Amino acid sequence: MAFILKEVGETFITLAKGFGVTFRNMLRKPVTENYPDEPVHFQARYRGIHVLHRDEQGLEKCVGCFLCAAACPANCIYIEAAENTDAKRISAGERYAKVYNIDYSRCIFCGYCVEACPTDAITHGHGFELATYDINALIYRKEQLLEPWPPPKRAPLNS
Amino acid sequence: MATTVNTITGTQTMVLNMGPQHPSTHGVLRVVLELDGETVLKARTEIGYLHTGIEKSCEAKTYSQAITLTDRLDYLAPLSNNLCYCLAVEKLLGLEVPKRAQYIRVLLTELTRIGSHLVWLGTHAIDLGAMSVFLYCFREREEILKILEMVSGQRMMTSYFRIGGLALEPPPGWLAAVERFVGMFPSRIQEYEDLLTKNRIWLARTQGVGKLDAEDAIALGVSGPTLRGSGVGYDVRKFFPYSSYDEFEFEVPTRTEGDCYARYLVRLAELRESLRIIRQAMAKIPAEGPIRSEAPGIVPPDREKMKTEMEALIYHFKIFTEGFSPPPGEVYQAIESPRGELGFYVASDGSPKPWRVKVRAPSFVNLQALPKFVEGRLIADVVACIGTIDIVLGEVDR
Ligand code: SF4
Ligand code: SF4
Repeated sequence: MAFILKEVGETFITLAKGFGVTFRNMLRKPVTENYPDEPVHFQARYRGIHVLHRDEQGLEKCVGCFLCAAACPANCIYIEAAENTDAKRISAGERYAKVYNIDYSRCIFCGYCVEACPTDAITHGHGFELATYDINALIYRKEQLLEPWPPPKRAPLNS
Repeated sequence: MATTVNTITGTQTMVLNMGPQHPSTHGVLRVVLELDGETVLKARTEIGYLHTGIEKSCEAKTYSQAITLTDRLDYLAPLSNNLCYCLAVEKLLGLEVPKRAQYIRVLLTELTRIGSHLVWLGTHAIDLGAMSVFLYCFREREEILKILEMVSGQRMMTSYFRIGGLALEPPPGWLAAVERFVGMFPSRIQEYEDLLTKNRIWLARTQGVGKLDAEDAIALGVSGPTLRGSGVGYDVRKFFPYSSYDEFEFEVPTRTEGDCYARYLVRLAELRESLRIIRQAMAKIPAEGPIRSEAPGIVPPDREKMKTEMEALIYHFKIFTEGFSPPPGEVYQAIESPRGELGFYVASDGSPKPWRVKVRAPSFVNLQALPKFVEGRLIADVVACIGTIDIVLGEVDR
């Protein structure tokens, strides 16, 4: 008899404890991200779709050195380099990337290209919405990756 | 489904496939069960549905490119894989990593261990019918993933460790984020305990289920919490310390019962021990100092140096175009991953690409214990037993 009473008692205590946890959690703030109704919160370093940068004069930073393509473990960067001429100057260096494609059906967002680039021409942005019905659309061309020029007016960062 | 009649007893047994698309097999594991009614007579695991060829692919990548592949082995503990592979190559090269990088590595891998154990606890509990534990565990894991994203840039495929150190200087404020997590987490472990440890359903589903005694455990070669739940206190961190683990104080929790409940208690105790290690690491990490060793031609130079010094730039070019060539030889390096002894065997023929990379995956070895766990028990226990091994199929079929 005493045994049964003890067991019933213990069961009630554990039940009360368990429901106590559930109740406490009901009062906590939800942590769900309401994507796509609200933007996703990324950390500053998030490795998303790449951005090809320009310098202060608006020239492309990329000098067509192929280092990023060599470092890429997924072999997904395709570059064709061409010489700059005085009449047509694209980058500050000797050469520039005439074609610069990243195949996002292969890219693993590892950041090796960013690490390899000697001129800081390529970095990761925070873009991530790559889904498409057409796999060929996943090959992003230079025009899609390049920073717009002149830069669009932005509200000052208030952080 | 196939039935066979036992000619001696006249009873029929049935062969049933559990998986590969069964939600409780944690991936694509197929278990072929021979059943007599609801009793399992024989169990055979069929693996290979997630074969990725990662070991083979490593041979086609340079030593540092292969780090990205290791992330994808045990995808719940990417940093443990990164660490083990980097340590193996560093051993091959005879490279010493700066203390600061070592401590940061320890801190992050212990965070990964907590994250991985949380996934285990959540999925194990939901397999056995406890829905809310699953949600709470994933909520806390999210905090860890945020820290990993903050430091490395990705939540799961971190690729943060490099041969000779770390990829990047951790961002300012990351230790504060770890501090917040460490402050919050002990009370959360208590909540899981309140929900499960004395819960009658949990006890009925796990106590006495999946028995494995110490002798069998050693004979099968299982490691990690699966081994320690059977009373064998083997932990690579204690026995073969790496990455300065010998400077940290922590216990290796063991239980002698050898059932699912014992392994549950072992893992919960490990969560607390990991927190202890993280606290010590936070105190140890110097505010400043190098995060990569000085090894021209092997470890990329600092970015600042690369942009100002010609020699550094040349090394930078060489490392990213050709990689580096370690001396011919072979090494084996083991670490304690959340699942057990993770080992990388790396053989070099003196070229910039590894000649062979072999992974001793703890999940693969621990999975061999499954027939021992389930034979003679009910079908419902199979679910508990798969959960308790904490397998990751990405690592089993590499
Ligand atoms: S992120 Fe990695 S996979 Fe993607 S382009 Fe850069 S190096 Fe290649
Ligand atoms: S992005 Fe950088 S690494 Fe790649 S070709 Fe241009 S300059 Fe070279």
